[in-house]
Amino acid sequence: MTRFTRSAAAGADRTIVRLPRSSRFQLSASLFQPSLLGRFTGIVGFVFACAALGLVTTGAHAEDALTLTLKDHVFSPAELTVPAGKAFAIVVKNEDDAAEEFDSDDLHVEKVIAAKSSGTIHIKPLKPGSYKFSGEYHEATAKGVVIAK
Amino acid sequence: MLGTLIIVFREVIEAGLVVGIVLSVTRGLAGRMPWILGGIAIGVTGALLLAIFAGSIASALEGIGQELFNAAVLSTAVVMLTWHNVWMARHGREIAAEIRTVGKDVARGSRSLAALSVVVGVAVLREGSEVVLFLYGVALSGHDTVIAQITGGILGLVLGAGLSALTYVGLVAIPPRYLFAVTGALITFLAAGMAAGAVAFLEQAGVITVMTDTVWDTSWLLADSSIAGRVAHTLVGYVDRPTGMELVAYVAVLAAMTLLSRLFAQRPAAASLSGAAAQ
Repeated sequence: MTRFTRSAAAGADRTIVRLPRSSRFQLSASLFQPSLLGRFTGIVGFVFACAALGLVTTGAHAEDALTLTLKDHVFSPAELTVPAGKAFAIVVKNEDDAAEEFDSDDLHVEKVIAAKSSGTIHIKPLKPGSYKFSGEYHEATAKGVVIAK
Repeated sequence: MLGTLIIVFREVIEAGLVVGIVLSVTRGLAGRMPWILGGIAIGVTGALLLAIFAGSIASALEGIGQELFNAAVLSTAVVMLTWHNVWMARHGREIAAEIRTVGKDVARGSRSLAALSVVVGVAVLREGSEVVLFLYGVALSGHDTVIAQITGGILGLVLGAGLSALTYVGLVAIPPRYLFAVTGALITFLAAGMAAGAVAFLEQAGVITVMTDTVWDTSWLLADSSIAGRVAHTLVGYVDRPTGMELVAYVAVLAAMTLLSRLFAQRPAAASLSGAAAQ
């Protein structure tokens, strides 16, 4: 080992010098030096560009919309029936003076609907079954179910 | 009152756990408190603004403004956490060695602190705005139970902060030698969970429409809606019914962060060798 190191210092052919593994790595890394921040930003930027490209290609889609009205912290209708296997949207109209969060672990969505306004929630195609939802801020009264057939 | 307590508690632990982890991660970095407190302050201010403009944000961009905003916020946090871990991979060794010599290198540490400050800010921003909206609604309702509700809210806040403080105490009890390995892993899982969360919002917005099928259902074991589920969700990104794309995002971030940290890690032998290579 000592012999090899000495020959390296003398300017002998470096390719035959056995450097510790980590050190060899460091040599190649220093080839594209700039700054740590620069390289990091480059990589992250690349990943985001790929992600953005992916998003554009997945695109939008047509779907039916159902209306759900919230008044006095109660949803009506409390039961929505939808065809199974088809994407749809729920338009929640909040007629109360307070904001509400439409929340459903079953449907995998959460969305804040401001007071006196409405919000659209996109739901993916569902398997047949029932899916509970509620208004997180008034769980005692604001609740309902989506039934997919 | 109990309902209010639980809701506020739930939101506070989500933000609080993040703050607790960041506090333990930055242990030994000089001048961290202004950055972290600044992050919290910006988060609280942002939460109030967000609550005020909730309506207009929600209706922006054809009604999916809120989802896109949330996804953007989470993605920002993921990038900042990744940056921090990469930075830590470079300097963690020195910090672990100098953990007792406070104030060693403020300038160098501040880059990573700025990144974590953003993470703290967005965590407080997201959960805080929900608390503000909820409490505002309670105050508006004007029932005679308002005092009880506000009391519940304050108790929830205190309990949530207390649990977060316990997390912090537990983490800093780990010997410095292992602390950075543990917190590094925590940050990686935290970021992976946030990435999956960003995907969930994009799916909800109808932007991502591929691989949206639920892969498994473990809600019978640990439900998202339970407190334990919430904690698991914040810490490791647990979701009881994940979609395919969420899993892809989770694994991708986990792999990318591990890889980047390895790639940029400073090996102990490097210093002597770069000297030799320069000749």
